[in-house]
Amino acid sequence: MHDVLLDGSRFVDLSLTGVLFMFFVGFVGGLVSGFIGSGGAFVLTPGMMSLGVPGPVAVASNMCHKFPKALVGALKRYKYGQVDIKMGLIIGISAEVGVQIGIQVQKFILEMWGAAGSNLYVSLAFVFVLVTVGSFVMKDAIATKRNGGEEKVTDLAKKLQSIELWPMMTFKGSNIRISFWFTAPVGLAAGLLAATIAVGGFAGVPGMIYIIGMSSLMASATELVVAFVMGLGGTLIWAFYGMVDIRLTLIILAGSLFGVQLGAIGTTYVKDYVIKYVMATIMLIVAFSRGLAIPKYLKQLEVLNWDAGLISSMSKTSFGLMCFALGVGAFIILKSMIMGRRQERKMAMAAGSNV
Amino acid sequence: MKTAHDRKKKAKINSLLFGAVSIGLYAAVFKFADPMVTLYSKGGAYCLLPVSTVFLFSYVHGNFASNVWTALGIEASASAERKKDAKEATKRKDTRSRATVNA
Repeated sequence: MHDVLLDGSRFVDLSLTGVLFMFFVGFVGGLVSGFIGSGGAFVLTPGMMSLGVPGPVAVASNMCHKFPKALVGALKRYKYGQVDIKMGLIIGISAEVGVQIGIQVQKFILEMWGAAGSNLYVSLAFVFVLVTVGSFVMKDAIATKRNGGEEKVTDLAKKLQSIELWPMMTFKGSNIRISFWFTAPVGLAAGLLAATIAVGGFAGVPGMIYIIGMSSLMASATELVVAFVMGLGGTLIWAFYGMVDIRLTLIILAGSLFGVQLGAIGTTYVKDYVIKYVMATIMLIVAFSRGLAIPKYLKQLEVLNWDAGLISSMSKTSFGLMCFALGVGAFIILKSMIMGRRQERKMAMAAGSNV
Repeated sequence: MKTAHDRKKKAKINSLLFGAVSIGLYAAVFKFADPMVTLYSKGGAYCLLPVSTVFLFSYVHGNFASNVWTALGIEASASAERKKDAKEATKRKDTRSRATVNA
């Protein structure tokens, strides 16, 4: 079957500007992923498509860079004692099931309403999920900061942990005992979102924090294990159909392996709520950006009849805003890290002068 | 315990070594880009090629990147290292004898 897809036209010629663009976005995407556990894919896939790469090749090549990046990030954060491998594997496997369900939903929508309907569904999912979850996370981050920066386990998570429902599982890494039936839905939701908007972490990380009861630091690091499991599975499927352009993958990887390790280092200088703050900021900007793309699909479905020039500029602004979201996230991470390092140096100097 | 100076010195040597291998690998990929892209896109069992390639690159280039940050003095907060050491130090094997029933 894969021989049918073997057609050289899907692999583009690469320009120096294109290579530098992908290296840079790879670096910034890696920085954000190393810090919040996910992110970057929402800019990389449309970014590659803007260079002329066909959609499936862009998705496949992006996914092929995602799992080694997640592996390197997870190993780095494991050294800092932030990863719960067992939790990551269980949620990752549940997420694989979610991905399969998400693909079936996508197929159904594509058959019913065509490409424009599918794109509209993706954009609406983006806006609905990211606005709902993003606002909640942002509100919580602000409240935590006001209360001195110490995170508390949510009442929902405490309640779920107290329910003895077979099979109960103990996660030594995060010191949690909870039923499988409460961890699996988090994975399913992450997988469903990954198959829809390509960033499962926007459901996975908040799910691990608010439903399972992990700290932001542990949840964001464990999400890297989830991303590895999902990315590896997804890559094998895409590569089976010959859709991976190894050149694109390796260029992005060159930048992202620098970024992901810097992001991981950054987590050791900040309080947990900063992770929530970065994640919520990115989610809300991305939601707004995808909202701007909705009129284009409504016009294609002949629901709207707006001026073509206006719709085109809204789509361009939408992509620009996605890059901006990633840039803002990277700025907050680097700023927090620089401030943390400065503070640590001052404390070390003060301790030295007191001796 | 290694000092920051020792770590930096070791990281500089490692970054040069891993950097040289990484550059070599990237140069090879772009020299043979066309045949590689054709081979890797054959699909089927060939799907293992891109997967094994990225594993190799993540080891070599990942170590290069890690050593570059260390050589530049960009390392994890000392408090994170202390927390981890404390966590490891508290792990103690329970060797106490227990009453057992032999049937």
